[in-house]
Amino acid sequence: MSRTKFSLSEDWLATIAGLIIVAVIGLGVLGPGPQTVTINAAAGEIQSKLALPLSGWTVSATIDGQRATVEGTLTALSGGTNLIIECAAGRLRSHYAVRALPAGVNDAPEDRGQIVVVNGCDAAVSVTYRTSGAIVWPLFNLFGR
Amino acid sequence: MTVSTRLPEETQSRDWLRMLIGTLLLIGLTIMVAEIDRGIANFFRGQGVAQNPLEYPLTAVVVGLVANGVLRLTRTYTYVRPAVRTELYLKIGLVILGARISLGDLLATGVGGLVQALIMVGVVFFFTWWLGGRLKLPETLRAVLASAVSICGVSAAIAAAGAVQARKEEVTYITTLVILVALPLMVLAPPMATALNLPQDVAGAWFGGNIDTTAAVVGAGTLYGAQAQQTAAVVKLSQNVLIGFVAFGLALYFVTVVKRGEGERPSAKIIWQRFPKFVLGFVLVSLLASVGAFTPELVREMSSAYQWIFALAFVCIGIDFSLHDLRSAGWRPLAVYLGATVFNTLLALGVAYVIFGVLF
Repeated sequence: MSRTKFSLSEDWLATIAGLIIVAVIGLGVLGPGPQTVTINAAAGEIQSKLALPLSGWTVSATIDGQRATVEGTLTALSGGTNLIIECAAGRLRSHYAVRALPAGVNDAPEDRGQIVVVNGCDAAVSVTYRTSGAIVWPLFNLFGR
Repeated sequence: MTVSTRLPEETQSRDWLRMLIGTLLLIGLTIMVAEIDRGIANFFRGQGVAQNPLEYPLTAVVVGLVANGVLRLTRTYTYVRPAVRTELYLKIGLVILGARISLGDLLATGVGGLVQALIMVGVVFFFTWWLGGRLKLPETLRAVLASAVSICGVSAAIAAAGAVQARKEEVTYITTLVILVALPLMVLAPPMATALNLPQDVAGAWFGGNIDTTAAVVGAGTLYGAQAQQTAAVVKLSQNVLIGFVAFGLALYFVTVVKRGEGERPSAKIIWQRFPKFVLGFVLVSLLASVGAFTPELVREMSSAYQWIFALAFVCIGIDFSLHDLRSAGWRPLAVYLGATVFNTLLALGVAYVIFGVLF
């Protein structure tokens, strides 16, 4: 029995494979890709932003441009939850909202989490939540320079 | 004489088994390369050098060479051979590399960096090409060498090698030279700049124009000062962006001139048949990056992806390595590389001084 054999040249094979990898990473075919959410709040202000419900966020923050740590950092956001980061007496603390949200802030929708920065300090606060891609490139953080 | 007969199905299933064994081994070796690379990067970080100047291709070739020796000693080389597809992996990596080459970056680097990059890449490329011709190097080796010295070392060498279909040994030879020459330059250039009393911007532009690997450029800049580091990175970035233009131009030149048969007219059909098609993938991805299709985070992810694939390709180069082929290259490529590096160093100093010390 004769079989028809379909073969691609190495050039086309490489082009297709390369474009598939670019599409998988670029279009987030296997996930939403890396996410960055930054919330800036001036002194006395309350600001909020919605974010995808993901775990494994890394958090960085500044008070008046100086790097600051967030006490009790929460790195998981599920749909419909509100995560509050409060600045008081020059310190940042995070917790999930269990009671009413601050005035002017609506509840998070079911398909998104919400990060709310309540700045009770007398300096500007900036909080950044980041995730890497769905496919963890590089694996085990190799080639991370 | 013995004659062995084997059923086609049996041969096919053995090929698949070898492909599977080879692929698994290559993946394992590439992960090992990444681990070693991380260890080396941590060592340099401990010494105050932010980026690893011993770039991963060198580590990958060494790991591949060790594997090569072990496989041959244990007579298991043929089991992994079907998975050793160096060119295929290099070409896949090059398509993804396009994501890092954004024309927007070129415009964002400022007029000074752009002017210096155009002068340096143009002049150094043609000088190295000419010198290689004088010493009778093969055209493919001249193209890889000229791209490596004039643009940005390893990535440019790989891109040019793909575009002109250079031999694996030529890529190994040049990437090894690039890394080995960049290392002492990274250490020597800052004290030389101090001795010449160069301002931060001029010194940075000099490092960016004359040192061949990005990591070593940043390393030299870091040793000289914050402003020098920034300018060095900007100038290097401008040069990196030109990889796409050079690779495309080389591919076209080789199809229409170098690999053209005697008396043959380069018809559109022949050009298309011989043109390395993956260059089109590279250009397409680069255009997507230029119109802002990828966020900086995505570009970082894609950079990781092509580094993995290039590491895999360089492991294959080590496994495929033949000392005989490398010896046959002789001393001439080394002489051309060193001659071009000296020319590059002096020219970069003059151009950096005029552009960053006088004009801007």
